[in-house]
This record gives sequence, C-alpha cells and structure tokens, in this order.
Amino acid sequence: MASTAITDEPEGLTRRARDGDAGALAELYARHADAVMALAYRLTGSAADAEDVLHDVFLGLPEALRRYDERGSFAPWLRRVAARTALTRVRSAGRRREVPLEAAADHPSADTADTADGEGVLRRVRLERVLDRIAPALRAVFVLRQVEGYTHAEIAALLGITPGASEVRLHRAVRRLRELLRSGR
Amino acid sequence: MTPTVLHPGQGKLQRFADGASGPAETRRLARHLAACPRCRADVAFRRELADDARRIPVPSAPAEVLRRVLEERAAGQRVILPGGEDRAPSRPRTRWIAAAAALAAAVAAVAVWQGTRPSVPTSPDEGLPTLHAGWLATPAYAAEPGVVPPVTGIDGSRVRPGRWTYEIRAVRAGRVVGGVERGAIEIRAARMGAAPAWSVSDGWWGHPHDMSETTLMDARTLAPLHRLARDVGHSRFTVEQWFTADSIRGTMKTATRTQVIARRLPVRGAPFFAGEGSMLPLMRSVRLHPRWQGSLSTLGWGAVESDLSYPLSLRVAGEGRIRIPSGTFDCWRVLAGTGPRPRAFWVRKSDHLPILSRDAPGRDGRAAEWVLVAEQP
Repeated sequence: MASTAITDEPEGLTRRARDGDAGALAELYARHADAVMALAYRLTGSAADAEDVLHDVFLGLPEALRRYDERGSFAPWLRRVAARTALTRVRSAGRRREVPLEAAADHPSADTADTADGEGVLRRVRLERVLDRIAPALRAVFVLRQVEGYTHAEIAALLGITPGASEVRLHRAVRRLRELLRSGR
Repeated sequence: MTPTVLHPGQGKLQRFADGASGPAETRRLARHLAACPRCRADVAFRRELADDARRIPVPSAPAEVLRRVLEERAAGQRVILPGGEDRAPSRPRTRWIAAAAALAAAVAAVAVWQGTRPSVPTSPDEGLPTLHAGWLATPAYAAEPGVVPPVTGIDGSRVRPGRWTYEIRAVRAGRVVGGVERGAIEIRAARMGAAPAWSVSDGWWGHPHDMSETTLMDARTLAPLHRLARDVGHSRFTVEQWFTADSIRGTMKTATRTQVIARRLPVRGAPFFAGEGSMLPLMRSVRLHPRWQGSLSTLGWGAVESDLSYPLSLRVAGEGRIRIPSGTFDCWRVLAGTGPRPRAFWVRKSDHLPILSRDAPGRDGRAAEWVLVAEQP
C-alpha cells in the first residue's frame, strides 16, 4: 500500500475489541481512524459522509471482527471494510455533489507546505472538483489505484470485478478527468 | 512519405507512469518516450494527476466521533458492516451486476433480483415517480437477498381492526427538534370478491407529500391483493395495482400520462408486502421472540422497472421499556435493514403494535422518529 503502512496490533487488541472492550476499541480508533477517515473522504468526496462512514465502521467493528482472520494483517482488512462501507454509502445516496472552489480551497487540514505552491494548490482544487463529477465506479478505481496504492488484482477482489475491468475503469477515469480538466468545467 | 509511428497503448503508458512495467517493457517505452513528445506529455500528465490526487488534503478523524461511538455502543446500538474479505470476480455476462453488488448491497440487490427474471415489457417509463421513503417500504433500507431466511409463521387471524395515529418528527439527543408530518393507519375487515381480507389504509400529511393508500391483504397470509395509492404532493399521481401470485398489474396516472403496470415479481424475496402501513399488520401477525428474524420484500409502484421490489430483513435486536406520550410500555426492539444504518422499531409486547420507530442519527445527530400519539382499537 502506498499511503498506509500495515500495522501489527499489540497482542490481543483486536480480540479485546471484538469482545466489547471499549478501551481496546478506543485504542484501535487512535491507531486507524485517520486512515479510515482519509479513505472514506477520498471515496465519498464529502467530509460529512466520511465522518458518517468513520462512525459506522467503528460502531460495527466489534461485531465485524468476528469475521476477521487474525492470521492476516488488521490494517488492510479494516481498510477493505471501510472502503466497502464508503462505497455502499456512495451508491445508496445515489447523488453527485458539486464541491465549490472556495470550499475545497478552504479545507481545514490543507497542507501548509502547499501555500507557496499556488499553481499546485489550484490544480488540486480543480482535481478535487472534477473527481466529484466522474462516475462513482470510475472514481473508486482511480482512488484505490492511484491514491491508496491498491493493485488491480486487489481492487478486483475488493469490488468483485476482474483485474482487466479494473484497468479499463482506470483508463476511463483518467480519460474523463483529462477531458474535464482541459475543458475547465 | 511520413513513417507511421505506433504509440504505446494507454495500459502500457499507465503502467510506465506508475512504475509498474516490467524491465523489457520499461526499456522499450523509455526509447519511445525519448523520441515522442506526445507520449512524454501523456506520461507526465498521468504522474501529475496521481501526485495531485495523493496531495489533496483530507480531514482528520474527529475525537467527537469516538465519543459518540462509545456512547452508542454502551446504549446497545449495533450496525452490521460489509466484510473485509476478498470477493471472487464475477462472470463476464453479469459483470456489471456483480460490480454494482460489490459497491453497494442495498441498491444493487434490487438490480440482481431483477436480473434473474425479466419483467413483462412495458412502455418507456422514464420520469415516472418511484417509491419515496416511507415507514416500512423504504428503498434505503433494502437488504442483500438471501442472507436472512424469509419471514414465516404469519397468521393474519392475529390482526385486529383499529386506527392508530402517528407523528413523524425530527429528534436530536432525545429532544424533539422538528415535527413535519402526521399520519394514521386504519385496519378494517373487508372482502375481495368472496375472500376475506384486511383493508389497511394509511395517510400521511405534510410537506412534501400528502400521501394516502389502501391495500387489501389476504386475511390469512397478508399477501397483497389490491392497492390504490394517491400522492397529492408535487408528484400528483395515482397508482392502482392488482396482485396475483407472481405479478403486478395496474396503472399509474400522472397529470400528463397513464402508464400501464405489468411486471413479474422476482423469483426470490417472498413474502411481499405493499403499503407503508403494512408493518403494523405484519408485526401483529407473527410471534416475536429474542431470536426472531425474517426477510421480506416491500413492493414499489412498478411503473419504473427499478421500482419493483425492495428486499428487507427484520430481526429482534433487544427489548426494553419505552415511554411515549400515551404511556410506558415493554417493547421488542426490531431492526429493519442489514446496512450500517438500520431503522429501529419498538413493538409493544402486549399486542405487537409498533409504537415508535427511529432512524439512525445523521452526522448532525438528528433522526426521524415515528411515534404513536393516538389509538382507537
């Protein structure tokens, strides 16, 4: 994964969270909530929706952990759960959202290092806006591949499609983003 | 004569941009790029696009969410999440259906069902109203079919006539922060031809819909026989449906057109229920217990093919004493939907009457609530 390192949990942390230990759940939140929030935000394009996804993931985590095979790594498993929860929300909401330029530029956690890079900031604001205008299925593959660093095989397993279909969706997403960025729409 | 230049395909350029090409492919592409400004620009664009996407700022996780999670878990709230396991790729023929299912259980489940059995052809149906959010018949709570076994043990003889008035309002942290609608459900003994039936009428008044409908249900099985629904809000339509064992027929009339409804029911998903008021006779007809669960489908208008049926699962998730304006009652807590935000019903143990239902709160803490305010058994 490009953006999140696999974290080995201290022995018994996931088991205690599964058994309903609030302290263990809080510890998992401290370790993984930012990664879940970031993934959910990138997939939904909305801080409010991402917050709802974050809430649902941790509210349901103890029960979901009953399906977690502890021989695997926890972080990638949690990210798959979060991705599916976020994608479910995108689809069930059935809506597309416009991100106003000023709202996107005024993001509370904007990287301060970017402030000297005016052109880069503007480019990213435009990209964030056009990302919200491509089909959810294309956005999902673009985000999972280009931002989250999943392989096409991993995306295929996550979405229940073939690796070839994942590649095709990425091509379509890039083509559509290029069109939208060039047209300035 | 200008020599023909064969440019690499998009897949090769993308792999090169991502650093995912093999050694031989990398060498070939590097030679081409050295001589081809067009492909160089393409690769540069792809790299810049990915780099910009990774550098879009993201919000950090608020501590307040953890506090809410811990409070809700302490109060017994639970959600069922989609799994983190890998899924097998679908067969090419149904790839789009499976992809949709992977993206979202709720809406996609409907598509999977309808893909299993073609509908009777109808005329084009674009622009016609579809079922809006209601009490039981709510597409947002549709479940993945086949996960929970169908509801069994329905005994329509347990249903009793009466009239129950509900208020729909918005609540936050236990306090009413808005009231927008009021409605009533009335059950009367009736006949459909010679067959005994229950007539279930419900009406809901408020913005944006003034909605009323009457469904005749088989007196023993509660299977829908006939439904007449009127929406006098901005949509202004009338739907009349007749139900047989495997199909719906009828009409939808809007201000500008009449659409014939002729659709086969999905092969899976029975029992089928029609009408927002159907939760009430359904709950009264079954024997709830701590491990009770069952699935069913609610029926849409059927004028639009995607608005045919919505699979739903119900389960008893707990019990407790609930206070509402008309009294304090021991209740079963029944969850509707398997998604991360199910709707909760509190069903009075003494007579299996739903007295309160509440959606999961939104991010602002507000939740829609249906509460019984009057009853005339």
